[in-house]
Formats: sequence, structure tokens, C-alpha cells
Amino acid sequence: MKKIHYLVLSFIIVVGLAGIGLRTNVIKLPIIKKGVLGQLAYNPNDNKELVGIASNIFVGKILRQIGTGKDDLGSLYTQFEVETIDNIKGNLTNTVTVTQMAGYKNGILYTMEEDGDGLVELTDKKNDILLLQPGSTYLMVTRHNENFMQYALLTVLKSRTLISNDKNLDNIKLKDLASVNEAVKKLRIAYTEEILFAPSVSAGNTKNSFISLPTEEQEKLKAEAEKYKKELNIPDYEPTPARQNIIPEVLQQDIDAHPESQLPQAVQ
Amino acid sequence: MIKEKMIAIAPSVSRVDLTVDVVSRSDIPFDGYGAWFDPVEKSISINDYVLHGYTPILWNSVLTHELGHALGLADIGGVNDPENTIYQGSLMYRQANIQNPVQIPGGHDKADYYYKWP
Repeated sequence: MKKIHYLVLSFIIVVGLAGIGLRTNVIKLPIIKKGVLGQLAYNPNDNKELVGIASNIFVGKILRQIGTGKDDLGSLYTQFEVETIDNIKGNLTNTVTVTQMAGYKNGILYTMEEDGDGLVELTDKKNDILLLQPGSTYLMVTRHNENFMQYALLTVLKSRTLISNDKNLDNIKLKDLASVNEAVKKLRIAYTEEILFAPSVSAGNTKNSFISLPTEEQEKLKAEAEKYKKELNIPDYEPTPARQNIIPEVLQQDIDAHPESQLPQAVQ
Repeated sequence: MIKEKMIAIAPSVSRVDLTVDVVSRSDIPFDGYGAWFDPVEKSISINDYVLHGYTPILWNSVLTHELGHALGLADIGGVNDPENTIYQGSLMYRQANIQNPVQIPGGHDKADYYYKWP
């Protein structure tokens, strides 16, 4: 009889601990869900659009997770303290706060990613890409908002590339690794030909745009980009098919009927 | 948050099934969002930061896409799929096609809908 009591008690303790573990997210289940779906306002396949929509692109080492929360859309987010190693767009120094629109609730990872066909593709990704990991170093594509999310990672998988998960490497070595990384080189090329995000242009919020740089710096970055283009055998820019569309009649009529409205971004 | 309206979808009118609002989020450059984090109450948000000043057709297009999510339809067309442009005529295409806004369900959307709701 005593044995049964012990078994029942043990079962209750195990279930209780598991519940606490899930509740506090100490236990992380291999389950990924989308908390928020969204319709992208840009084409992340085109690096020039990806860079144009970002305010800061940099290589940084994740020092620690500093908080989690839920925003007004109902999306979970996680914030990290990040030490900047190198800049591709912008000029960050020391440490910054990076926000990723993903987080754990009851052991389940909720994300806002908009790559691929749903979660099948996401579940193939390693955890260190789905959620930034302290100790690892990434190339990060972010938008800055001083009053809200600070440096918010764009919600596509291309917004971060793992440079190294070796937490013992010093910053000089990490900078060297980043300098030979193909994704870093591709974004350096794209920066010199970036397509600015029209709503940001309208709002006067094109922080760190290429055209805002001094001419001398522009020329230096262009020369560097040409070198990378040859090295990576990247052809000159060709607009994606979506950008070659002609305005359909129905939209033209709508624009004519509402002259106060602005034209869509890609046909301005 | 700028404004908010409640929509009660039949058959229940005693509780809110879907919340529709307009937000201004410069940090997440989406046209619209559909939040299903809470399984009981769902919400649709349209991003005024991106769509500010755009014509009604473009607003309709985004709102209809998000309503598709409310009906259980997922986005289609993988961002990394080189052939993703074949889905551009679909309401549930993942990336907004503001040059050619879709306002009514296409063949793929209908097929998904009838699969979900036979």
C-alpha cells in the first residue's frame, strides 16, 4: 500500500515539476507555432529591398537575454543585449538592445517568420537561427525605433545569419570571420544599390541610407562592392518580375478617383 | 493604435469573434497582421505606417487577405521559392503585390478554402 502511495506521490511531483518547467519555459518543447501571420510589404528575396528597409545592419555577439513580452498585435518578443562587432549599414558601437519577434510560452516557440510555406520549413531550421542564442554571433538586419523595440530584427529568416557559435572567440577573430562571410558581402553590395522603403521615405525615416553618406564614403563602398561582385560572380541588378508589372486598369482608375492618394511604392 | 472596430461574425453575436484595428508599426514592415495567439479571440490589424495614403483598393486587398487568415487560410508562396511569383494572383500570396492588388479569391484560394471547409 505504501508503495502505491509513493508511486502516486512521485507521479504528482513529476507532473507538477513538468508543469512548472513548461510554465517558466525552462522546458522547451520541439514545437513551433505562428502567433501572428502577416503580409510582407517588401520582397526579402531582393537584397536591395532588404537593405533599403533596414536602418541598421551589423554583426553582433549576443551577450544575454534581457527580457520578454507581448506586443499590441499579440506577438511574443524577446530582447537581447548585443555587443556590436562590425557595421554594414549604420555605425553602432558598444552594446545595443535587439528585439526578435519570437518567444516561448508554455514551452512552445511562437514566431512571426514569413519565409517559406508555413512551419514545415521553419522546423528544419536550427534553434540558434529561430531564436538568437547568447554566446553566438550573427549578422543582423534591423529597423531602429528608439521608443519601442530599439533594434528590431526583420521578421524573415534572412534577417540573421550565424557567423559563429563559439562564445570564446574574441572580437577581432569574429570580425575576421564576418569579413569573409558571403551573406555579409552580399549585403555590402546591396547597400550601394539599396531600394529605400517608400513609407519610410514618406515619413522621413531613412536612417543611414546610402545616399546620405558623404561622397567619399560612397565611392569607397562602391569600389568594395565591385570587388565582391566579381568575387561572388554576381550579375548586375535585374528587377524581379513583380517590379516590372504595369499598373492594372482597376488600380489606375482607383488612383484617378483618389488623387490625394499616393502611388504604390514600386511604381513611383 | 488609431482606431478599432469590432466585428461579430455569425452565428454568435453575443461575443466578439474578431477584432479589426489599425495600427502604426514602423518596426515590423507588414501591410497587415492576423493574430491567432489567443484561440478564442482573433484579431486583424492593418498597418497605417505602410498603407498611409494608399487608395481604397489597396486597403481592401490587405483587409481581404487578413480575413482569409481569419477563415483559416495560410499564406502561400515561399519567400525563398524562386517560382513563388506563380501565386501572385492569389489572395493569400505571402507578399503584398501592391502593383496588382488581389481583392477576390483565386483558384488556389478557393481550393484551400474548400479543403479546409469541405
